[in-house]
Amino acid sequence: MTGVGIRGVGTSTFAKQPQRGAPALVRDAVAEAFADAGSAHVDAVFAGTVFDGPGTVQRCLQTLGIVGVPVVTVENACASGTTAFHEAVEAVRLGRYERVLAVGVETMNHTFAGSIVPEDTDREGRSGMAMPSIYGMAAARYGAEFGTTPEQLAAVAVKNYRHGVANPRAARRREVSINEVLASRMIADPLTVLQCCGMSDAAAAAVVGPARAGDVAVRGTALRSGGLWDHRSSKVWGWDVVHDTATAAFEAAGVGVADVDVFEVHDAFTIGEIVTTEALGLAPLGEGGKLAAEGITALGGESPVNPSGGLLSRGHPLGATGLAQIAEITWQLRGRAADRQVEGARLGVVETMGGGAAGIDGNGCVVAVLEGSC
Amino acid sequence: MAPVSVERTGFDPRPRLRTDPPAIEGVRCAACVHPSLEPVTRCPVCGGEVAPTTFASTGTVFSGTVLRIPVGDRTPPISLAYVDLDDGPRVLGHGNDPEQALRPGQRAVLVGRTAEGDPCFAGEETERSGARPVSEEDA
Repeated sequence: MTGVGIRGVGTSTFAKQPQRGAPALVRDAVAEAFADAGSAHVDAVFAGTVFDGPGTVQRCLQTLGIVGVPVVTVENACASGTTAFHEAVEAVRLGRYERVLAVGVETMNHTFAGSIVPEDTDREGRSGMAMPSIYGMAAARYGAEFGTTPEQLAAVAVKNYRHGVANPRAARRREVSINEVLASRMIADPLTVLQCCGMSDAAAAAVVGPARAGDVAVRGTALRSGGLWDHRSSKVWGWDVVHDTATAAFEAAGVGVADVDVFEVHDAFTIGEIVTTEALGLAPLGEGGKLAAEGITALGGESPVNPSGGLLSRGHPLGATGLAQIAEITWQLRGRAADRQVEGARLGVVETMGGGAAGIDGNGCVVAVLEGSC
Repeated sequence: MAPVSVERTGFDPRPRLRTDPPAIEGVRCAACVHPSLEPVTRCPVCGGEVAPTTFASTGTVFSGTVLRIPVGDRTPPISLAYVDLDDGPRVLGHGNDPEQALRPGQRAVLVGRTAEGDPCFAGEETERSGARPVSEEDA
């Protein structure tokens, strides 16, 4: 087996920019990743997108001269970008290819006039089950079962928007107060609009290859789909799949959550970060609401989560999100995250999960453990 | 691919309801008794044989919310809830009052379909105590 290193990363800006189109966004991300890697050569491409049209990735890559190589596009809901990364890493690790490009893209504002329209061949999507409602139900359940407060939910948004101010690529860069978050427009009770990620358009990319000295090393990655989520499930949607995927990734990496210096996790909605940080092991079940509220997951805290500002600040172009998380952790582990740098970060974790298929605990989840060399 | 609207006369993936009295139909495994909404021919848990069944029309709310933005052709607000039927699966339904969220732990009864054809539940109003409104099993 080959150790895998990250040779280069890049992203476009994250913004409502449907007029730019996928090819320009992908060119921004891939050109930066190639410059970072010091080479434009790749043997294969794994790409992630959910809603961008058939052939999007080949349409984009030809404009960079990336032709004649295998190109595989995966759809894995919000985890599409990290799934492409996982597959690229596995391809190098198993010796199938030498240098592989993982790229994700989504032009949300080209596809949708408002929020994501649920899939109407899905039994819950057909009943109007939008993503904010499943997270709203998780938040309502946490309030009833564990006493998680609206202020604890809002604290996640306050923290991540504060972090995002220092991220020049983020779409929403403005500090907000707890009161402002709670007073903003209700979307899916109890989640207000400032607790929901925005619709942005972007691309992000990483080049991986056999690990060399100085690379950020991929210590371990894991990919899972959710188990059945039904009347037997006492936990909210997504908790178990994140926990099980993280357990597998930590085992592959030979580290535990306490060893990790910095996290980028799936905060599509405030409750999502609370549930995810519990499932990763940062807090016991039901106690994740304390993490942001008590400053534990803030920059400067014990376990910084989403120093980039997360999905709340970047917005959530589905295919691009996971690779933007990989890029952020790579910059963090190289000590190049400027005003949002976690001092001395050596081990970092990326977690992405997505859903939309009724009856299971998430369509897919990826957890990656990365290690810096400085 | 951009979402393509499915003809409303075509495939409807939602739970099958019988009327008078309203109840959801599904299958139950003869071996492990696992209930399924989907008309599967083998139990997704144990692989056992299944037989058609009709689930209880009463249940306990796992959680609920009111969605206040338009999605697709839906007009907000809509009350959405997961209801764990007493002898059946967890079902996504609509609360019959679109302005009112069904609460975790609240008892609910299936009252039929909404105008759009979704399973529709009415919450039973009970004295709301300060205690955590979840079953022992869930705690």
